Amino acid sequence: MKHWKKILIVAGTLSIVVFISTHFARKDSSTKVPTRSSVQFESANQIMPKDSHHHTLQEKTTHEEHGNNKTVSSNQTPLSNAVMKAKKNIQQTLLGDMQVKVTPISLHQWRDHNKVINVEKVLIEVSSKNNKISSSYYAMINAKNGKVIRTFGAPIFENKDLIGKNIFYIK
Amino acid sequence: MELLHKKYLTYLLLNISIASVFVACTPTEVGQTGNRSLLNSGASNGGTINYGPDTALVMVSNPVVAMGGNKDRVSSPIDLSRFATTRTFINNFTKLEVCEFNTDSSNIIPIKQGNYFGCFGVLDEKNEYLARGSNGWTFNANSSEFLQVNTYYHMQKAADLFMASLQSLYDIVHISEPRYFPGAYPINGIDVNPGAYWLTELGNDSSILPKKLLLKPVCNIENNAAFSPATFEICFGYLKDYPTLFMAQDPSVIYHEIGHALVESFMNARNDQFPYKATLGSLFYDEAGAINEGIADYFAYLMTKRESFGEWALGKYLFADRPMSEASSLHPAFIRNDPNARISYPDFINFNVYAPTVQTEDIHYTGQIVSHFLVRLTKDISNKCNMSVDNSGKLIFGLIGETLSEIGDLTGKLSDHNQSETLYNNLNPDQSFLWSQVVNPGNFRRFFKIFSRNIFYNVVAKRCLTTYTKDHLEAALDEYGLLLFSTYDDNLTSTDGVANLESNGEEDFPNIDFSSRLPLNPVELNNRQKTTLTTKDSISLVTAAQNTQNSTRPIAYIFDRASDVNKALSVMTFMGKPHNPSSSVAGTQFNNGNSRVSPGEIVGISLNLLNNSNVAMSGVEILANDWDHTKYVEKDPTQELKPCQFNNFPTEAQGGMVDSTEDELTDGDCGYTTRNNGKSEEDNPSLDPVTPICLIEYRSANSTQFITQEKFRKMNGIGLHECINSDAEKNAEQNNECLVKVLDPSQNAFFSKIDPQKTFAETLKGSSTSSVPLNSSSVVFMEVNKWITPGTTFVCRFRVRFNNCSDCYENPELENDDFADFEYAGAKPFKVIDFKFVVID
Repeated sequence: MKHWKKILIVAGTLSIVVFISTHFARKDSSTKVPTRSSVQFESANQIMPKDSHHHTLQEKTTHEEHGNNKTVSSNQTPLSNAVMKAKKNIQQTLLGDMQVKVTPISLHQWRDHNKVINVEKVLIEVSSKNNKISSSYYAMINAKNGKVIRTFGAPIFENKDLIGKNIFYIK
Repeated sequence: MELLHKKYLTYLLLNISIASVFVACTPTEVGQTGNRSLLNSGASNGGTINYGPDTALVMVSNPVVAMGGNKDRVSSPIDLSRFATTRTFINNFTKLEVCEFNTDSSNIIPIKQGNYFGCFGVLDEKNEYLARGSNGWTFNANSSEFLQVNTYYHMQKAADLFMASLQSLYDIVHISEPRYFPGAYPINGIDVNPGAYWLTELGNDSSILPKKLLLKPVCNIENNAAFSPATFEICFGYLKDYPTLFMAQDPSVIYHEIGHALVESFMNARNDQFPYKATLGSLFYDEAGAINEGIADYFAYLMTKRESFGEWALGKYLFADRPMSEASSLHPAFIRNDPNARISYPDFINFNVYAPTVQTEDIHYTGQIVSHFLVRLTKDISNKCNMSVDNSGKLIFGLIGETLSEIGDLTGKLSDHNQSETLYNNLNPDQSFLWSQVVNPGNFRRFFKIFSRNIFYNVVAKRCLTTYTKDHLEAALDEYGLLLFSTYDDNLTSTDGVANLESNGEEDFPNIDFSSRLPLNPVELNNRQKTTLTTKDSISLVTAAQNTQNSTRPIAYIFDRASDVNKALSVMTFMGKPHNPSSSVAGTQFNNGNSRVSPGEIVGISLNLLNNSNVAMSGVEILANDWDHTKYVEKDPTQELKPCQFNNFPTEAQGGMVDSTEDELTDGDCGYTTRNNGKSEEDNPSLDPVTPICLIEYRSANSTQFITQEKFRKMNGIGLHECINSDAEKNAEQNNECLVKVLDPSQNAFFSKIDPQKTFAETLKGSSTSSVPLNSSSVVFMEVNKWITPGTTFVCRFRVRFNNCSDCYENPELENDDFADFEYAGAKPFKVIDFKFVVID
């Protein structure tokens, strides 16, 4: 194939792509995802973000169409000791068929009485093979010993009977 | 704008022509296999007709409603194409996702198709977004693809209502003058930045981005649906016994779950700067969870305008549909649309229309009181304020958002109108998580007090003036037993109790007009006809004198069977409440199942509290967190801590500390409550630390004393390595729970209600002669050190209050103003319950 023909084909393909993308794109280009940068808040007293990324975790951020879907790469370095300890501790509290996964999110600093301690935000995922059911929530853990300090964002199930509501009985 | 207008007209014309085609055209039915995994593929059932690529047929109502309420079960799957008869615009994108907000301030409310408001997507079984088919968004009504398109359509409608409600809230609270009370919802207008009012997350550059709500209508979960705030996902499951029936086939269920997501968004409207979030409700039963369910039901009402929820899969096959007004046919005859026959608080806590006489603690049942009240209020305001039900609903949902953003506020500032450093909400940013989630959570009293204040200042005093009055509001609250407060708590008392509206109002809130209102607005007590209150002294543990030969009531239930406790702890971990296991000095391997507290065990304790009054007690909260109940001898932090005396315990001879009656109360006194929950400053230890609830009885030759666990440890030469608690806590002596420690996730317990002259257990049992289940949220779990000598006696000082308590929230010495936030670190708002037990091998 002649060189100019190749150029024509490439140019034609590009034109089609440009046509399709402009044709189907939303007309109002000003309606991008807004941010809240204009909103000024005072920093929280208790938590001071230290690093928006975990120091040992390689994150891959994929910007999909609207740019806010963040996925964590499977190609990651070993978890920190605190996260490993948290995982071990939490696994210890679970029955045999249940498993936990702990994913680091970010590091922060925390004033605990008169000391500043490092804390780590993690995502905890618990799954039960038998019941085919899983839950996810966040925890702030002590970045030194992996102890869970507080949790938040636990799921709301409509049918709690299926997840072991009734364990204790009174006569 | 013109372009959108043309597009809308084209769409309307298309819609009309398609509607006429469908009068004569029945969609092709496709057989089903009866296996959910074999849902039909999404090949269009009408491939010969070009419906327009951006539209689809959708199911506006669930099949039961579409069939006129027929709930008869059928053995074979129903062909849903019978019900997918409304053609509507879906989107003009390539996938079922959007994250776009209108930034045109002249057209804020989404009234035109094609104006997108929201950030959401619908995922298939493989967690991928559905792409357009050959016929655009039109798919076989029995297919998974149809379910996804249908869910997207309903999500889009819900997002429109949400944004319109925000607009309503923003206009009435922040724009319209006079502003009588500082609104908690962030000020920066949704006309400037509407995306900021979705639930948000931090971007890589620390900018704040809307977090995409992901809906999974074909989710692999049996007999269930769930909203996950952490992942911001909604999972709609299927029926185990009828695998072709999906929760997402019922729009009311879709709306209910979306309602939970919106509650999460409201709760955290002020919390962008925090890496953690506030939640409305936790574990199995608490009133915050019931409010969350009630609001989610109410959102379904706003969307469907029907007064029942979940008639399809939930109702038809699981008997779990719910009414939202007394007029609903689901209700038994004794519940009517009559002021004296409503489902009121607390009588109808736990009320299940399918088993009216059984007490089952469930947040969905108790949440019905909330939804019924809100539906009634919506109609009432619509009638009296001359506005449509639609607009009344948007206004009320917006003010629900205003209420929740105050309850969930972690900043402590209360409002962006607060121009000072003074804190007015949830104590302070250090403690706001504990305050909003555990110590002073969104229970019925707190929610309805704040919500009523918002209705009062924005609807009664501003929007409706003479047509909807304070009496109307209070009468409606009272019909539902919800007039639980004596004032609207509107005098802006700072969290440390130092400032209020009269001293600091104009300076701290310069944009608020306080001149034309009372500093503290009282409830008209004549309006309290049905709501019943009683004093905190009416609740107690059973005493020996109250037990008779015929009736022996235990003071508490002890659960120590290893298998039960292991299961409970596992379920708690699953539900977001993991505990930190001790290394070796306590664990369920030591549990012996003898229903007593033994060394080494993890035990569950449920106090069998007795209601000595003649009215039902509701929303009983039992706190087991550290609090200010000890005092340094000589007011010196290097000195030992000794227990303060409450309810004459411990006596002075037993080591109880009593303040001098001559001196004014100051830091460190028993009668002086810490202003910051015992926080020490650097090099300046607090004179008012908060300390663990359990003391130890120490017997010497001369006396019996009650002392802290740390003192006991030192006196008995117990090494720190032999203690239960964590390293961090060992370093703070006043917090050392060396021998008995309340598990972190069980710092509070909750009882739905206690009937008059009954214990909690008797209330749950009712007339049942068999065993009844106890929610794990009614149980406090404790670790017991294995080195404890059998025979050692402990006294744990729980703090208890309930929602219809006349002196748990209000201070009669201050015109019944609510207690300042700091008081919840002390004894004043609570009944202190001293629970004594002996560790026995």
